Amino acid sequence: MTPGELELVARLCLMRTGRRLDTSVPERTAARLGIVARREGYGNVDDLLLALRTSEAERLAWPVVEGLTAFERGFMEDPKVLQQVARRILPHLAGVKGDEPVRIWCAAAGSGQDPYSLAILTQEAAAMGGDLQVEIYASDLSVKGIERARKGVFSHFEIQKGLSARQMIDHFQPVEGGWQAASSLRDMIRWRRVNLFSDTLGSMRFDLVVCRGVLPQTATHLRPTAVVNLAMSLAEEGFLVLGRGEGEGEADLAPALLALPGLDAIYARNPAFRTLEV
Amino acid sequence: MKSCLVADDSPVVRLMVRRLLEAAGYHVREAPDGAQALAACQEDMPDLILLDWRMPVMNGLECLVRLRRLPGGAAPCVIFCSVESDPGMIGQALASGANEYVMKPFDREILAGKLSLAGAA
Repeated sequence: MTPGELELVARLCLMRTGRRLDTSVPERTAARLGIVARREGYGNVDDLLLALRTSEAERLAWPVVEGLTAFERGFMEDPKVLQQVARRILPHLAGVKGDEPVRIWCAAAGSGQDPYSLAILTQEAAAMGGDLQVEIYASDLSVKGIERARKGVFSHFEIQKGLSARQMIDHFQPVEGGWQAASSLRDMIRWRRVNLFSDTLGSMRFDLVVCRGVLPQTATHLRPTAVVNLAMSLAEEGFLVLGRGEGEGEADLAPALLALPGLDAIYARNPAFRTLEV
Repeated sequence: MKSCLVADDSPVVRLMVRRLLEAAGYHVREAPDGAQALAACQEDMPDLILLDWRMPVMNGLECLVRLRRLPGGAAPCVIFCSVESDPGMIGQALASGANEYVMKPFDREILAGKLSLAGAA
């Protein structure tokens, strides 16, 4: 790909999603565009880019953006952080909520590994006698990604990244093309398309929001907006989980969020934070 | 240096796994079947065993069951590496004493993840 072509797709991603595309490895960008080209019926990336520049610009914009910004994740990523969520945050929230379910939102959920991981941890806690009711909402920018994630089918390679063999056979079953999440797991998750910079989940407030990998890719001038949107989606006593190291030294997190001593990558909504003042 | 025994009847698989494990800092020995793997364990118990299921002379499951009965045989971390993907068989391997299970084919990232899950990283 030429520098001009890389700039074209990077600008498209920035305009549509607020995310900076890492174009430092052009081969990786070209490989991802190759998948989009095949899916959209073009012979190669050059033909796709030609169409993107001319007659098919509007129709192809989202498929290209979705193909280039999709997150590739494993299950149980940052296991230490997830253990903190499972052992400390969720039991605390369950106590606060009483008979009401703990409401969780996994933003930018990609293929679904994060929400399925949380669903597994919740079921494991329940199996050990924990009285934990949750509602899991998951969102992503990509309609195709959501369709795929909702089915809960993961390839032979994907299913082996992050899950123990016990978790794999307890919560998934082999199907054609991979392993599918058990219906009890799939039924726990509600999917919705959300662009973090232009959409909201209405008046919904969440006790726990998991949003990993987004802030580092977000254009600097849009980060305060992203942080405010995430903070606004939190209940008064809600928590935000970022990727490991994503919030360190991040001045944009203040004043909306407070770091929690002893807890990595987990932030509480600042009680003094009022969105109208921002 | 931590030690590992790779038991698989395929020389290609043994070579590939050897390279991955040596890069992870293991001293690696090899065995082409379950009987030789068991003999190697009796001679010098390794820290980690990567065990194929279908092997000549003695299959991996029988090797695992016998290993766990040996003096010191409870200590090694055993990761099954097999083409078998039937949940019942995977469950049987875990119930028989395997610490983890990897379905072939796998890559470096998957093996590293399984080593970590099994506490052998």
